[in-house]
Amino acid sequence: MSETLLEVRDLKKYFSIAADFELKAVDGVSFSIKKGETLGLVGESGCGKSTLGRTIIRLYENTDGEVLFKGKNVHQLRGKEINQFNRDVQMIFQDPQASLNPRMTVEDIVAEGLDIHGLGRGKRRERVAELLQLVGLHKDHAQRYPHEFSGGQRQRIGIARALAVEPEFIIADEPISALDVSIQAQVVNLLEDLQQERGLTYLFIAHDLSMVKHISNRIGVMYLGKMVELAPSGELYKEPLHPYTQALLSSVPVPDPTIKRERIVLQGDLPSPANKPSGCGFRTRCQAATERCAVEEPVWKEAMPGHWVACHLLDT
Amino acid sequence: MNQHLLTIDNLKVNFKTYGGEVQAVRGVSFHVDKGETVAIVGESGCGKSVTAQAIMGLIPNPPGRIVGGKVVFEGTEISSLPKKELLGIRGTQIGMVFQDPMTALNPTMKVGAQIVEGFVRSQKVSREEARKRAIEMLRLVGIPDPEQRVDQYPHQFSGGMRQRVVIAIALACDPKLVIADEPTTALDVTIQAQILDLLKRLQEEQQLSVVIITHDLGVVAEIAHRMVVMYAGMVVETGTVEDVFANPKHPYTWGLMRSLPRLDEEEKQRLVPIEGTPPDLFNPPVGCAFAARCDFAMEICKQQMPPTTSFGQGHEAACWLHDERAPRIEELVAAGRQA
Repeated sequence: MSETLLEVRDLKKYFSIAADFELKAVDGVSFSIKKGETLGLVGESGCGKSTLGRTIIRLYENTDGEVLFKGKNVHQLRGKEINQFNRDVQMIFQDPQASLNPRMTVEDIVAEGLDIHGLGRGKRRERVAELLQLVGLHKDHAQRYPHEFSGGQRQRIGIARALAVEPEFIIADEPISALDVSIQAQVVNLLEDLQQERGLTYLFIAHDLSMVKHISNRIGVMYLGKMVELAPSGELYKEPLHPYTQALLSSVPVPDPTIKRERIVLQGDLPSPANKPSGCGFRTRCQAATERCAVEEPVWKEAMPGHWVACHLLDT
Repeated sequence: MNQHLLTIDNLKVNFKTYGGEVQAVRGVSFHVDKGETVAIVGESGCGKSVTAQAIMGLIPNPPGRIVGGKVVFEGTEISSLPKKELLGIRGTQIGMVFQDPMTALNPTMKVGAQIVEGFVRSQKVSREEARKRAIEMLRLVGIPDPEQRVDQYPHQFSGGMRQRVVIAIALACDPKLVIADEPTTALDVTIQAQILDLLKRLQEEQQLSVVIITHDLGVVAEIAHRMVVMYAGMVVETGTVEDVFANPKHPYTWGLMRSLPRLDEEEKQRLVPIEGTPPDLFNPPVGCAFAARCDFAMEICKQQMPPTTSFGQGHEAACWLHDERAPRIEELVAAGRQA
């Protein structure tokens, strides 16, 4: 777990929503992921976590900053390098209903990557059967269509498709949000087993904090396009430093009626990412906000070893 | 509290489809008392929303119809009332909060008008009074600047604010009972915390009875007094939240509780999922619907419906394991959970 697999440096992704107006969906995010590690990414809807994932995998062009995968800038890859990158990095999507082509059989869906990269010649069927078994489906399922499967099974098909090209790094964008509670645990266990067997590295994007904490080694918290805190998951839970992380953690309902907690209920709503507050993005909902927060943007710094945070409160 | 505010007795609802008739709800019974919050928990397709729709008389017919049982509200059987009389209860005596605040509101109507739509019809009030009422309701659900907000349209509100408006609509006629179908599922956690606090406060202040439908056990623990666990169109366990969480009696409830990761887990533990998938309700199994996924299933489970066993204080479960002839595996499970 020492080698850095992916490094994101001051990455920015802006969308033009009017002739003279840009929505800053991801606005200067930096972090790195080591080989074999799982980095969780949490935040509320509209915080830019999905855009970040999609920019890393080159579904979006970056506006500024860089993404280095194995030391190479992914947005400047050319020709064969792009092919190799597409094999090394795969994505699992949120909605297994929408991310599988309803007109293709499971075999064709899973083998699509094999065909593109010319991997399955002569043994396509065996490879698909192997992959289906790996994710807990039956090889007879190969000739069926996505609508014949339940939500949890469809998500397994999506995982089999991602694994087909033997990637090293998988970006899972809310892979379990569309599933029922009893099925979520099945898929999470599967992802963990695969990681152990194949030494995979995950970027796990979700809004369910308890599940993210369960699966991740480290967790990054995003708010309005920026990373506000990044720490090992146990530490983040025990000692959250940013007021937003504290509020987020205390908002999660605990499935235990005997625990009565003092909850930090944030006032107001998430500001629109198209119209961000000046200074610190969180100051409009922060109980500890001072005048300085409105003027000056907090710097991203290492408050404790391995524990990064962006908040003025820690400058004392 | 001799008479329950709401009693559901052996409710059965079927839906006709091209593939045959789906038995969505297969004999559900529970009750709600005045001033209490009852949570209905279960996975998608277990019939929890259909149960709520049946209470409100909102089952689309065709294809759906109530094929058995009854819904009794304040001593009146409302499941068989003609539509006209039902309208007098729905919206005025019973309010409903829907899951998705984006689709529950009319985008072409000002929110104020939507809030008092039912109030105006039932109370025959003047325009000024109605407007005053709308402002009062907006203030009650915690929307800032209600005087301005009352004349705005839903698209000018954020998701959490829209859900507050939906709650205001449900409360506008001072109902005795509010049915909330996944009221926070579409919302972010920090907004969910706000809405749960709001529901809790309103329930206490107004002595409301609330039926909340959710799949999130965290939400249940947070706001409900009693809970009803549903599986495949039936109630498998019911009891006070404290009893069911501390001492679950049905293997499905055990499974649900074990499959959740805990935020406060010290060391990483492997999740214990419930293997398999829920049964097909076109052809529900003869015996216990959970038998196929149950680690403790016996021969009889597949052949006969389990009887309901009572454990006192309204805690009941429908499972053969509590038959006196069954092996006492509960102790084993309890030991396993602690190990």
